[in-house]
Amino acid sequence: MKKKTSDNRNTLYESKIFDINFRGTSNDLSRVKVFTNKSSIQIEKQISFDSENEHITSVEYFAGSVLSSILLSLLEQSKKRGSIIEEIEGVLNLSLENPLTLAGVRGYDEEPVISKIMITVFLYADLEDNEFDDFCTKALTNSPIYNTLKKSMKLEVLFKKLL
Amino acid sequence: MSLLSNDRVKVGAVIYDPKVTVIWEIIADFFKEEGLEIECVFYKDYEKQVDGLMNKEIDIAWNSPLAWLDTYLRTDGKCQMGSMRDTDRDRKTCFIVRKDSGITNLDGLKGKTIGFGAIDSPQARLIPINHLYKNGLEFEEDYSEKRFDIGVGLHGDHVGGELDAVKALMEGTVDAAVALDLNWDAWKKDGTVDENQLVCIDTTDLFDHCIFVAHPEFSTERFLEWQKVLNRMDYNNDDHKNMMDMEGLKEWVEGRITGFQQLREANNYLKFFDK
Repeated sequence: MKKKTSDNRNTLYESKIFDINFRGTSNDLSRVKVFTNKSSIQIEKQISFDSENEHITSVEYFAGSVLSSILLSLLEQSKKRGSIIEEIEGVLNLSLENPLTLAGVRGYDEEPVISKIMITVFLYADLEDNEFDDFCTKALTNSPIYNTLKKSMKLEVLFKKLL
Repeated sequence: MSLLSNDRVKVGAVIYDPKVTVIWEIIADFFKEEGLEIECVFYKDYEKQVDGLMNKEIDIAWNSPLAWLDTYLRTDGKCQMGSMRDTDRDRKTCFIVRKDSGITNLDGLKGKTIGFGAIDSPQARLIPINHLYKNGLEFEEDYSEKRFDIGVGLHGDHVGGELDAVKALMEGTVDAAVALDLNWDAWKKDGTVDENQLVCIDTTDLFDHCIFVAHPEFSTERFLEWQKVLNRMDYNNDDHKNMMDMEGLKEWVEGRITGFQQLREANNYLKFFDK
């Protein structure tokens, strides 16, 4: 019989923690370039209030990360179960509190903060209602971004089954 | 203060929606292309903006009519008046009742409850109260005021208070409501209000709305130069049209203070700036 150990000396750091490093630069002191292992992204603004803005902002990358992480965790779970998801789509609504501080309006000095994110995921999956709920809830536990944010802000994810 | 001709002219604007900053960025780009750079300074409310003008944080302020009056009084009438939008001229406030109320004129509002906008709204409170007074209805005596204080400090820029008053009228919690003619017309057009249920029984005399105001010590020559550039905005130019549509005008016109007479009367009657 194998004996379980609680001896921390036998716990390898790498088995518990995966560290990732990023580097960001700004050659023109205006835009920021963030490097990944083999690629990079360039960001010009934290947020834009202009509906015509064509460049992806920090807040948009953030929202994209959250939504994609949740959808991908569902798709990964689906593959493990033999591709039970046939269609998937997600909608994310983000509420930024105190935007006028960011816009530099005098008289506003409250910290801008993303106070709420509401996500609705629409799924077509051949599962009974109970199975569907269990599947979605379990899949969500594999989203590190969801797990991180749920502890620090109002983050709600709704799953809607497409018939 | 921008006294040197190569200094950027500092222009103040009150902002309650971050999307409006985009309009001012476009205006700033237009001025830059025309060879006269401006710096936009944004304020939370008109009181702060008038303070900013008085303190010379800004040279020119895009003022509400009440902010114009505040500036005018604080500078003993020495502030300089600039352009206004064509749509700022000759506005009026509508007095609206339910058709089935039996109220057909202002006399019928005696003893009734009237829904007004924010406490500092020229079009949805101050001017209509003055109009009622001129027509024999004393404030706080001949009718009850039910105020909808949305966006206090914005001088009625936010439509919320006016709209809430009209909604209260539709719900029957007030007997009448007041609204700027442009809002009343827009609500009838988009179905916000049902013309079969509500009717306008009277309007105020015509008044003017927003206006650019410069500090008394800002170079008049520079102010005229700045306005000359502003007036180059051409609604027939597609690039300008978009910007002008966002700001709600087809043409910049010469500012005037005759259109603020009713507001001055209202301030004297209600002692608004004495409080």
